[in-house]
Amino acid sequence: MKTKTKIVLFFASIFTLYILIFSGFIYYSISIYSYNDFYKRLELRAITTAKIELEQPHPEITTIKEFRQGYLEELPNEKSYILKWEVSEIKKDAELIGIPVSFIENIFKKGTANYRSNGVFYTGVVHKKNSQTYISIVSAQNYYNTHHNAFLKNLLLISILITILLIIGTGLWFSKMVLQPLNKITLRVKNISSENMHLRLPITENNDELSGLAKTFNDMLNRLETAFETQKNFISNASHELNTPLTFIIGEADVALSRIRTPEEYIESINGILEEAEKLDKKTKALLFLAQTGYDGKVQKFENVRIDQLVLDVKDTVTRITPKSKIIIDFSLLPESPDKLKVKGNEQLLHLAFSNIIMNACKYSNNQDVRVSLGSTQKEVIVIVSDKGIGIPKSEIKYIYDPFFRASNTNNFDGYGIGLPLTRNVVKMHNGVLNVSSVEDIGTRVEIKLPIGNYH
Amino acid sequence: MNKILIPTDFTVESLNVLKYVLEHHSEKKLHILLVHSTKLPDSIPELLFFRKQTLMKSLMSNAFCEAKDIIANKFCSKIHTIETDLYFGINRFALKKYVEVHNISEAYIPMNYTNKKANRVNLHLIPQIKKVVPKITEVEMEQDSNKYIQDSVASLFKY
Repeated sequence: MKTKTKIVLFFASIFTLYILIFSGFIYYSISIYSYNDFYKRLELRAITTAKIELEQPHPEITTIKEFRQGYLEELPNEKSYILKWEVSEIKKDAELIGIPVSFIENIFKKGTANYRSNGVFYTGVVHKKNSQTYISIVSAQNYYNTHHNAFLKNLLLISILITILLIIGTGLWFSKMVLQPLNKITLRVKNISSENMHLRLPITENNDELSGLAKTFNDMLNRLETAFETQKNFISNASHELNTPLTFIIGEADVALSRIRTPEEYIESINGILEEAEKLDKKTKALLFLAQTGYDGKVQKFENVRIDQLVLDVKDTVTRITPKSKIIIDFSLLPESPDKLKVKGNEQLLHLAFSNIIMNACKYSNNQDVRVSLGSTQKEVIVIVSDKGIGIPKSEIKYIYDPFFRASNTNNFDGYGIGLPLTRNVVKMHNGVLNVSSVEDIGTRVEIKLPIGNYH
Repeated sequence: MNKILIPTDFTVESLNVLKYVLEHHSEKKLHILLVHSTKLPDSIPELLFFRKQTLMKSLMSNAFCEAKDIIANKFCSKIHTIETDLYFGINRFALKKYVEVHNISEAYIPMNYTNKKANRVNLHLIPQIKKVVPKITEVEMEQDSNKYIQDSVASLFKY
């Protein structure tokens, strides 16, 4: 069932129920009221009839007669009966009038009673004269019940019908109004495919749920677009990176084989080939490693790692590889308690991650000072590596984690663009956060946050 | 127990004063009160649901809390308490009362430091402290040349 029909049905059923209860209540109270009113009229007539008939020579009778004729109109089918109370006679009298015996007994017991059958209403009162009990009964047809109440019934039924129609109409309009923006969104999203990923949903000014939905869709589209782009970049970059050494190897071999050469020349060209093959080997290995660290399900051996020790080790390694590098380690805010420096992690992977970051800092700042600072909060160890290097252009900073991506200002530096994505994978594996902020030509700052004593 | 007052604008940079105090103060256990001056909200519904802690949380950045933790961890043995508080007073007399109530005997204020979250109220705080608190130490601070706009723990370390 469509939401539109659901809304309409829900609306209509609730309001119909409400209106039915409402009008039922009105109809019931009005009919009860009209019955009671009619019985009172009959009672008044029964009393006056008894007086007029039974107390004939009384001086007040003329007044009562005048009153009755003047003010009490004749009711439809009005009939009056005066009975003498005698137990033996009741049955006969009752049959004659057409009322049950219990009704007459009730009048005698309570002084007055009402009875109703087939639209004819009976009211009786007791009248006592000279120790003899008389019963005066007046009957009439209830004109009000048959006409007024029927009119009310019709009126209510018609108004219920009209209201239900109105409600269905409003419900349809309302659901249309509510669902129209949703339909619009659906239509727009349908139009967006992998070919026109740049399209976005229009966002309205007001901050309601629907604009929230549109925003969420747009965010998702942003992520999807980036992912698509990353994948495209990765394939082109990877094929390019792998192709370059291969082209060199093929070219070198071709040239060497074109004619017979001296052993020295062969050695030289084979050396060149070997060098390029080694590069290729490094690249494929790095790729493999990246794939391995990126795979979540793999079980890694985790042990206690002291980050300050690790940073010193990394410094040693980096100075061994690039002796010119100047790494300044700032332990001025090292916590007093060594527990705050312990991280549950894989030392080799963390070593790899840190040395990647620090080597990058040295490389891209032409061996200027690189500061490595360490501090720890209650939950995290924070390592900050900052350099005064070339920085990363602002427009490219969102691509730095893409494998093989290299910023536009890195042409003078060697590299494959695998280090940073690898580092991020390692940090992610340790439930940490890697944060890179940079200003072009001023420097780059990398913050690595690793949770302390992650013992699970 | 006497407390040390340090005005702060809840940026990492302003915590360098705290670092200075902990490095140079001779006393062994310090009670430190970091005070940020701000205005009370002036609409009735805001005042109705006003809570100091909530306002303070919204003013403090994540980096500020991290930097405070780093310093607290570094000088663990020297610190008795570090509290953060908001000050809503405007004139000198209010500050005098505040200093009395919190038992503040000393204040460290940054020299030539430009307040990042400068508003009219906040700017008055440092000159007022100079007049009210009995012992004042002015701390010279290196100005970060605003290389990175975002507030970060890195401002704690000399660059």
